[in-house]
Amino acid sequence: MTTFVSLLVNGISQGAVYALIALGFVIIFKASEVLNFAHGSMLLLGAYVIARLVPSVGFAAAVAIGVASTALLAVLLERLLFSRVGRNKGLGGHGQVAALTIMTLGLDIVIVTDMARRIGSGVLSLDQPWGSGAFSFGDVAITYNRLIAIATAAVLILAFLAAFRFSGWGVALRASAEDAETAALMGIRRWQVSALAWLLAGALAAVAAVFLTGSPTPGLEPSIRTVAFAAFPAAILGGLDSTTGALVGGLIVGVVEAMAAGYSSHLDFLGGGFGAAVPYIVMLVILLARPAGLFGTRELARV
Amino acid sequence: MVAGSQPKLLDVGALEVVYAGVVQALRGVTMSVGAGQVVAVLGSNGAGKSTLLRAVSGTLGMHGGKVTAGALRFDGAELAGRGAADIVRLGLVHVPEGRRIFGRLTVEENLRAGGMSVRGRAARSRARDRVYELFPRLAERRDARAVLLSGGEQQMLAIGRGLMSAPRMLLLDEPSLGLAPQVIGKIAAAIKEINAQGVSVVLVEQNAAMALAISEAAYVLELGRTSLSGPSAELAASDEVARRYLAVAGEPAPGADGLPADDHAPGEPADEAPREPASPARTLSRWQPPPARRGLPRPRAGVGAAAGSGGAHAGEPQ
Ligand SMILES: Nc1ncnc2c1ncn2[C@@H]1O[C@H](COP(=O)(O)OP(=O)(O)O)[C@@H](O)[C@H]1O
Ligand SMILES: [Mg+2]
Repeated sequence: MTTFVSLLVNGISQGAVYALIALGFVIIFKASEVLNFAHGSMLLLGAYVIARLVPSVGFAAAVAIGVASTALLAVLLERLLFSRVGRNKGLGGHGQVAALTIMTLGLDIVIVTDMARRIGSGVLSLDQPWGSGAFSFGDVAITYNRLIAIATAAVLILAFLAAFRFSGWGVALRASAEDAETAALMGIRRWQVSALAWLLAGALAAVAAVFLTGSPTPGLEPSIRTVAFAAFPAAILGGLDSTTGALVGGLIVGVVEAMAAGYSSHLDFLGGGFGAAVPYIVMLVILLARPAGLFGTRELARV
Repeated sequence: MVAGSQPKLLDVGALEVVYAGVVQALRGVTMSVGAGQVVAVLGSNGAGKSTLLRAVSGTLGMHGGKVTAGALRFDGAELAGRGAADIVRLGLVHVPEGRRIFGRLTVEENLRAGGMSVRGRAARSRARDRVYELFPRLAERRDARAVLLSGGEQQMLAIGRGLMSAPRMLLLDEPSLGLAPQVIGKIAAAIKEINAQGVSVVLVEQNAAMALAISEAAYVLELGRTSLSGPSAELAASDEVARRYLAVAGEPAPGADGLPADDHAPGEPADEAPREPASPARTLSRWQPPPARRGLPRPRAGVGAAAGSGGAHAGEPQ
């Protein structure tokens, strides 16, 4: 039983971090109709900037600069992807959206290759001030890193949802996502809405990077991009165009992953390394039952 | 030409539009609208009415269409090359066909979306109060999701949303579409009220009776050309218009008197002045003889599939 509670709490923490990433993925999709497969490499870049700067400027300043530069990179990616599309002419037809999505895959490979070369084979530390200590309550243990992750993710997610619901940008984003042409007729400049969505998504990814590279993970390795990849099935199973879906999807994937890892000895008959496939299996099962995801309104096939 | 010598707010000259590179939807449309006027644009389905409005509001590109010739000016400013969101900032707002409200947003959020180009919180809330004054029903339903509104309420919302940026001119595409006669009467009254507050209106309609009743001047489009134009009262009384656009259920109108508009829009405000019976068919400026071929254009294979919009894709044989 205590194993279960421990796995649950750790799973929720990891899931909260996935939710931060998935949320960015979802708002980019809503704003630009693009599946941003470069999301994991944006996160990697954020972590790298922080790790490089920590020794000279300290943790807080490094995080601030890392978050800002990842946000900026995201906006640059957006501008690069859409530079051929007129600013106010909408974002083009579906063929174009598919081409843009494939471009993000290309960008992902470019950025990851470069990062892998820079990071090398070692592990870079982000030197989180909360260190690698753990909090235990009876037999249930969770690292401070993961506790702080839950709290930070909760605050950021609430702030984000409030902006999404109440700010002018949120109204403009939801209107554009529902009917781009009519939104343009209202004077909404979609490229501004879209640029701000990428900016926020980049910032959230960099924050997620701080926690993904913290204890119990030893530090920054290029492979954290693969860990971040779990946010994609999270976003998709929750419903690609739903912010609620991103939250719930993130938590589901985090918890299921933790359970699969914790009880892996019982799952040995499925073969080793099964845990990494779990998020995708959960996604497939949910999509079979609900093609638009748990909270989505659009089927992936129609994207 | 319609109207006298007052300065023209909107000028459309010999406009030609092509969709998907092949479907010629407008073949030389000329129209001008003076400040403070209500001008009706009539025509049957597929005549090019919506295309004309899209060209003015800069949204043709989203439908795979392009202006290939002609001039578009609003208050002296060239519209060609401007994006839709910029044209709104000139004070020209297009309320599209089929209402197109944001169904998942609340009524209030729809209005906020409409006021997105307006600087200043005070100006936005003033605009919103004016809309709620014009359509009190919307104020009652401000927190409802727009998809839950009735058809008439959705049309009010679409118009109100268009007013949020305090435009100088409103382009309305078939606001009476699919509405009950009483509701059409309310919409017509609202359009007159909006105009009385100083907003010029271009009213695209298939409901010719309603449109002619509340407009000063009217243009009739046919297969992408302006076939008739003139003061609305004259058009309403003309043989030609009566026969084609005011006739009851296929039965040709009897004489030159035309039919009283009220037969078709019983919900119209009672204070509507009775139209003068006249026989002004001669005085109408005729742009060219009406084409011999009538009825729906034949569908053009292969073109519709390439187009993004869900509308009719019948092309017209060259
Ligand atoms: N997106 C489009 N692609 C191709 N042809 C179109 C498109 N939209 C309209 N058309 C064609 O242009 C002509 C005029 O259409 P439209 O402006 O919608 O007429 P109306 O509004 O008067 O009913 C029609 O022949 C129609 O089939
Ligand atoms: Mg139309």
